[in-house]
Amino acid sequence: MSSTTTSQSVSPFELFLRRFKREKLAILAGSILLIMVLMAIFAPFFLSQGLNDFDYDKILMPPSAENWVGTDLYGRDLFTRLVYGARISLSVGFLSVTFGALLGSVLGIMAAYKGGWLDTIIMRAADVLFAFPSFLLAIAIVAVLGGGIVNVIIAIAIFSTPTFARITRSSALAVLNSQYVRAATTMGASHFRIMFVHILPSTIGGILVYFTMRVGTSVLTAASLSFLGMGAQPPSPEWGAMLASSRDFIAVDGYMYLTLYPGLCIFLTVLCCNVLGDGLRAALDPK
Amino acid sequence: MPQYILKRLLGTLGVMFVIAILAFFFVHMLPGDPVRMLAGEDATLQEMEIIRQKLGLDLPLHQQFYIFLVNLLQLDFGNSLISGDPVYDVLADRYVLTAKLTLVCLWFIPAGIVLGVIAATHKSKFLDRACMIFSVSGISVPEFWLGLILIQIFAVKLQWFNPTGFQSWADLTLPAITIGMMGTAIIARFTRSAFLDVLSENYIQTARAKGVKRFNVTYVHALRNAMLPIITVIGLQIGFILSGSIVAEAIFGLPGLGSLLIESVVARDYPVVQTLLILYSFHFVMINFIVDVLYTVINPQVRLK
Repeated sequence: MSSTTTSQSVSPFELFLRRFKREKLAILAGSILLIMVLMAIFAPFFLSQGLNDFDYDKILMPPSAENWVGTDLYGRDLFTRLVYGARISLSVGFLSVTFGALLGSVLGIMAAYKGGWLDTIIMRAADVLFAFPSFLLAIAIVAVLGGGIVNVIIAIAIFSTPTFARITRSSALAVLNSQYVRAATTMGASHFRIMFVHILPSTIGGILVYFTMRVGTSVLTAASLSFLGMGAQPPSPEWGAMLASSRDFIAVDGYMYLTLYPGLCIFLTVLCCNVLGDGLRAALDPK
Repeated sequence: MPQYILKRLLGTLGVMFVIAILAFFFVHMLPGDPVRMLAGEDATLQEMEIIRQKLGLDLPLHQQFYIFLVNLLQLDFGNSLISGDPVYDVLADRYVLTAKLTLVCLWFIPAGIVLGVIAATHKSKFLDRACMIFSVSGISVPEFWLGLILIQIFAVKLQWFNPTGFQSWADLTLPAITIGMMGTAIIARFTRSAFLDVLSENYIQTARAKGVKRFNVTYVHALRNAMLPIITVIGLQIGFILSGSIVAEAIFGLPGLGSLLIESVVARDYPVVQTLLILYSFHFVMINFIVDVLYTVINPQVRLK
């Protein structure tokens, strides 16, 4: 395709970029997510306190100029803990969905390309996984594997897989009989090359939209599991685990800040993922 | 029609069978020896062998599965490892509360539809924006956090409700808001887009042109046709109420199936976990089945395929 900029010969990617630039809210959401990721990565460089700096003179202090969102039962600065918690929550969300997306899209493409019994087996297996509500499935997997953050990642990856398989399969089927795939077949391209060089790129759009939204859902699921005592355990600053330890104070008036901010972090992350995903969808598939 | 229902029913039974297989292997996949757990740390090999025979774990796998299935159909789910009571009795106590909770949570259906219709009929105006902001927030809000905040505001500060426990239906108010929020948000989104599709159809223009009242056009002509995709989503969301109630019951201290599941997972009470997994998926599958049947009632075209 030529690189001139007449309206007829714009590459799909350029077209997508142009449309995406109009999605102001999605860009805002993406920027917030980026800032959160950067803050999580560079936490030690700009935070004056360490993750577990106890200060028994400052136990359960409400938000102030010094401690922006207050301190906890051990006098630890909550803002510091939230930033370090972002490291765990964001990487759990990102890693689990990445594994799910990789596995799901490979299975989906294989199902579409090979067809026949392989297609039947993969898609029926997906149907069975769909027969469980996803959160229940996560709990069941954690029940088998035991608690802990690694097992939470595995559980979320497993229940993300069937959806990615379905999405990839349906968009792969759409291009399976297109001329360029047939041309590649005629020219003797290997099955592997056809699947992953020719078909995969055309399925990326759908995967990307779902991936973005799914990261949000996974952060939410991981936090829920930690909150229920099946994921990260309390000394960890994981957001769900922080909320779990705040539960001891919910019956007392005046300690709402302990609950408020970890939850707001989860809420903001999930909200941004959803808004960004919506924007990507609108830019990829304008109706 | 009966033929279609029969076909779907067979499919549903097939899924249930697979779920039973999975649930059976679930206990076999668990780390550790269930016999050792039952017998305790200082049991002799002889004692363990007796328990193994009593549980039928010395039989070949296919026989074990057959016994498991037969017991399942007779609602014999074994005994809880913790209390020693039959799982059936343990569940029966808790079932009623979760059923009540699910019933109360159905408020999300009318709420979501009304919000979606308001958004669609005021497209791109303030009300539309407000509904959609509410909707995307409702989808993103962590349920357990919402529950904790509601407790702190309405139970601790304002003291309108009991913070935890179940004495009367009023105690289900906050849990119902917590669980229903996500469903409301999702239904609102789907209703809006389904409605916008329908509102551009010719027969709606015709109805308007011939002077049908605005309310009738919206709620009689349009809503009925927009219902099809919405019903699917409603079905899915009722399924999600089940899993939503797991977290909410834990927060609000409600002794239902959800809190039982968490207690049992933490305590490694596997017969209870196994039965709950089967029970939850049974509900989920049945809801999907009912939705499919409803679908054919609303849209006869589905039957013909």
